Amino acid sequence: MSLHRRHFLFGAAAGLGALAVPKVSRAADGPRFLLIVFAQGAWDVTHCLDPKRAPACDVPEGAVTAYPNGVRVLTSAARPSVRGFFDAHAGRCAVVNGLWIGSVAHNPARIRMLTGTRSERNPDIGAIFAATTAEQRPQLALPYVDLGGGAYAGPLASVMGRVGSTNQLVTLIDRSKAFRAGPRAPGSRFAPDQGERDALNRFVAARAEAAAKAPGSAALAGYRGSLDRAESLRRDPQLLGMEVGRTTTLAQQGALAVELFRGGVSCAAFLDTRLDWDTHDDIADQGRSHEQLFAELTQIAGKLDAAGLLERTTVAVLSEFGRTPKLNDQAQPGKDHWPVTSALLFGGGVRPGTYGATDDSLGALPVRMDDGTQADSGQLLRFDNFTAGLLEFMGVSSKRWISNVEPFHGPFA
Amino acid sequence: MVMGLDRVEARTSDSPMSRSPQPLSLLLLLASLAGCAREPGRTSAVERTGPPEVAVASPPARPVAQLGPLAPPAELTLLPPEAHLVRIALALHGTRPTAAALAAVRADPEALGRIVDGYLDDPEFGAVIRDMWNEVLLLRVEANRYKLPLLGPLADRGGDAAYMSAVPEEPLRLIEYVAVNDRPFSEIVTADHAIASEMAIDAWGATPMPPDPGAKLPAGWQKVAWDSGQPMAGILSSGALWLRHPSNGTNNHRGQAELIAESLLCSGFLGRDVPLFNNIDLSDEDAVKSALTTNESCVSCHQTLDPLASHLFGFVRMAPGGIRKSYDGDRCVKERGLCYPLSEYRPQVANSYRKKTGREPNFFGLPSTDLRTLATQIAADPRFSMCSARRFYAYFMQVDLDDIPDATATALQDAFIAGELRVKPLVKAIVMSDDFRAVGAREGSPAAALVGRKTTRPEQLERLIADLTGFLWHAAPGKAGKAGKADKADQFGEVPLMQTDRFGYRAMAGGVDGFQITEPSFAYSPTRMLVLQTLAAEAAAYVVEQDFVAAKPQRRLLQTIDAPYTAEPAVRAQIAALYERVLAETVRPDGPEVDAAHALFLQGLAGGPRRAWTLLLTALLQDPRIAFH
Repeated sequence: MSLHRRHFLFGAAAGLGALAVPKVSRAADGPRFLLIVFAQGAWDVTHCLDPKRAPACDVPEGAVTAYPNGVRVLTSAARPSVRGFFDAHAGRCAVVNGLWIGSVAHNPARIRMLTGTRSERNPDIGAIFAATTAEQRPQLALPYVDLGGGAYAGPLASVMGRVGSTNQLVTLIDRSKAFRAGPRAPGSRFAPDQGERDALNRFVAARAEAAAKAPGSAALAGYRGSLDRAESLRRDPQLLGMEVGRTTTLAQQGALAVELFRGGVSCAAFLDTRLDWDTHDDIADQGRSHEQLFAELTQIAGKLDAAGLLERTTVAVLSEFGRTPKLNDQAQPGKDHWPVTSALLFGGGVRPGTYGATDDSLGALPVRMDDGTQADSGQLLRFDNFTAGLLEFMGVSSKRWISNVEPFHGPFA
Repeated sequence: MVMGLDRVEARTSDSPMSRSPQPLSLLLLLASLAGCAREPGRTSAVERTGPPEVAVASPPARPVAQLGPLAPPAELTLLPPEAHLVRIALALHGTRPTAAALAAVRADPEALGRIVDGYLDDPEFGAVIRDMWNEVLLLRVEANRYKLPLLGPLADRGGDAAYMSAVPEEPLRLIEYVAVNDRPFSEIVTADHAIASEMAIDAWGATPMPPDPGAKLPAGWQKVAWDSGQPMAGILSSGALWLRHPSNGTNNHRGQAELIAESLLCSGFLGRDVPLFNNIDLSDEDAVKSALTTNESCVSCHQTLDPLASHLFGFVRMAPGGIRKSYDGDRCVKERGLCYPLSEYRPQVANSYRKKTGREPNFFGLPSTDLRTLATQIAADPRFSMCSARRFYAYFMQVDLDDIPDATATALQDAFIAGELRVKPLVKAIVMSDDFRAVGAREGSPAAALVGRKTTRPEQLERLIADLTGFLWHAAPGKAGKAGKADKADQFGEVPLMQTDRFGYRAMAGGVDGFQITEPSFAYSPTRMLVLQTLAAEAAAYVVEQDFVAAKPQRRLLQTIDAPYTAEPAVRAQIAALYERVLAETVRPDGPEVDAAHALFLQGLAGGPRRAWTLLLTALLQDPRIAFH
């Protein structure tokens, strides 16, 4: 796919007849779930979520497809999966534009987008939601599962677990799948039978409970809770079935997340797209990554739907910031960092439409916090407004973790 | 309450005490650092080095500054002296104290100071320093974009694991060297040398320098000067550091300047918000240059950030992909550009900042010309001593930098300066303080959030378990049958599972992966628990197997009983001994703790005595006293 600096195809809302009948998205009764999909590296929102025109922006080929519920995205024959996704799911999608991050450094921006704060020591939205949900559903063995690597649990770590970059969690719960011991660690492995394991756990639990009576033992609460959860994880068929030794694609992560949701193991999951978004050179990679992303999001949506979870699962597709409106001067031009980005939400009852606003040059514009419409009397839509709003939407008070911030309501019905 | 600082007596110093760092001497000591698990060429068994014994006729104890307590004494619950020693031993040495050390402290709590000196002078303390500064500099990262390809002279050297311990580790080795040899800590930037391994020398090109008499270096590492022509300024001259923190395209070394400001001065720029760029065309280099010098919001950071970055323009990006393209098998095609040894610094482009940003080098408004003058400015800046002192405190106390009370931070800096920026007196002050010794605080006390149990880090867990059992948790994931078909058999080498993330459990156990997880976690999670449980089981099986084929004096844990014996008194006595050794907990053989342990032993006895001991040790090795300290 080539990118023409001053070429832009601006199409009308064409092909409406080809669109699926829009469905009103509303949260169904029953437990809710949160799936965070993170596009690490920073996507170029002009490739899809926030279409713009030349000359103010350098934009890829494509046409704006407008859906009746107000979703407007750039689609192209070169990226059929994008169109395919929105044709199927626009009725349950919300696009939020003009999200101001206030940073153009990857890690600080990532922390802001995920936690709504500036500190990695704070929990992200997945951890907060999972911790709250776990109070109501204590049977969840792993309320928040980090399948993509890089979720932040902070002090809520007892509800989160990482599966590892090559699913090495499986090697811990099924020792037959463990990597071969190195020559400096010979010897037979010890695999307690169930009776021995039960006795072991009782013993360690008693030790933990006795130790917790001493001063300064707040940390032992997490240790004690993790003991029970670890035992549940050992028995979970979804985790036991993970393939070890390979880095998982987004679609594979999504499939596992759906199984963990359905199996009552988790209520929140963090996924990574595993795609190259940091396109300082060769902007064409953005197109390829968008195509791959939406192909896999379609698969994930399909899995959620098949499991009967789509209306109860909020999927938040995020990236740490955006990319500059114009191409740079690299030999193979790309785009550099830009402190404004977009977010895509679907499922779980989000109010479909486009919220937030940017000007022709991708500058963030003030918006109303209640409905996300552009208004000069409004305010800048910041990362903390957004994450607070998402948390409130998920039924969790944001005040404890994201203080002194007005939650953004926009798409959150 | 006044937070006072008792004056530190100089141990052996010809220079008067003052509140500013003394002029730096270039006298170097060689220190041999005997094996830790990451050393290249380590022998196959974990040597029973054990913690250092208390010397009978010992030199004067290292002075210790008294830090003012976080709260009035009545608000703090302090560990008794022996328990304090147990905590210190794990923090500084990764082991349990010896029976002799415990007895010494039991008899005289004042003996603790000399024992701490012993730990600080032991090579294991160097490993602690490296672990700590890895959390600051994030060098132990396995992402391919930050790793040199194992081609040419780097091929067939033991795979990724060997590379990780030899090349990215190099800046940490200098920091360790400065700390363990009692050099002023400012030498981490002012040193005219690096400490490099053979593999690092092959990668970057370096000329060995003569070691100073009496100075010791870790086996396989040597004092060098880099060959690429960069001014020698400690870690600031390191290609490995800038490989991990590269500057791409239009970044103009600002990210690297940020690393310097944040890691060494605690004065980073990234916590601040960038302004709206609505009216700035970032694709127009001239517009950007203008904005950075005229737009008030931009100027506030860039007037100091850009001149700092200007010191670094001589470093060029060594893209791993570019290196890969330069090699045909193991033969490098020089015309393609990037062959080992690399030329990571090009003096001819050192002044290219003039065209890019137009900012002459300076250091927060003070004149500077190159890396050496930058290093001198950093060393002289009071923020350096304050930042370093706070970092050491935060590491051992397991608290956030921002949570350290101002009065404590000031006292730390005073102690650090009074000790001539030597790390050992500072660390001694920290671990001997009531802050570190406190196990709890009254509810509502300002100290409550800062004191309490410390969580055993993955690297500490690895050391502790290795010391107790001799077990090294390594794996060979590249071997056929366990990893994907695409993996080459020898690509990964032998992987220490608590030090890595691609196949290991470091991040899962609360460590940093250096890329997306840049802060340690001190809270337990289900997966962290699984890591602990699995390590405990593996180590238990190992030590039972090894101990029961060894004569009793050579055994690590099961020193009083033989495998077939299951008579209750002997079993109970052995259990009590295990509590002492593994958990540093004194229990009676007829007490309730041993009752519970004996019941567990009996559960396993159905599978035979060895299985029973394995089951029991599996429990003890995942005990809260292992998980926390």
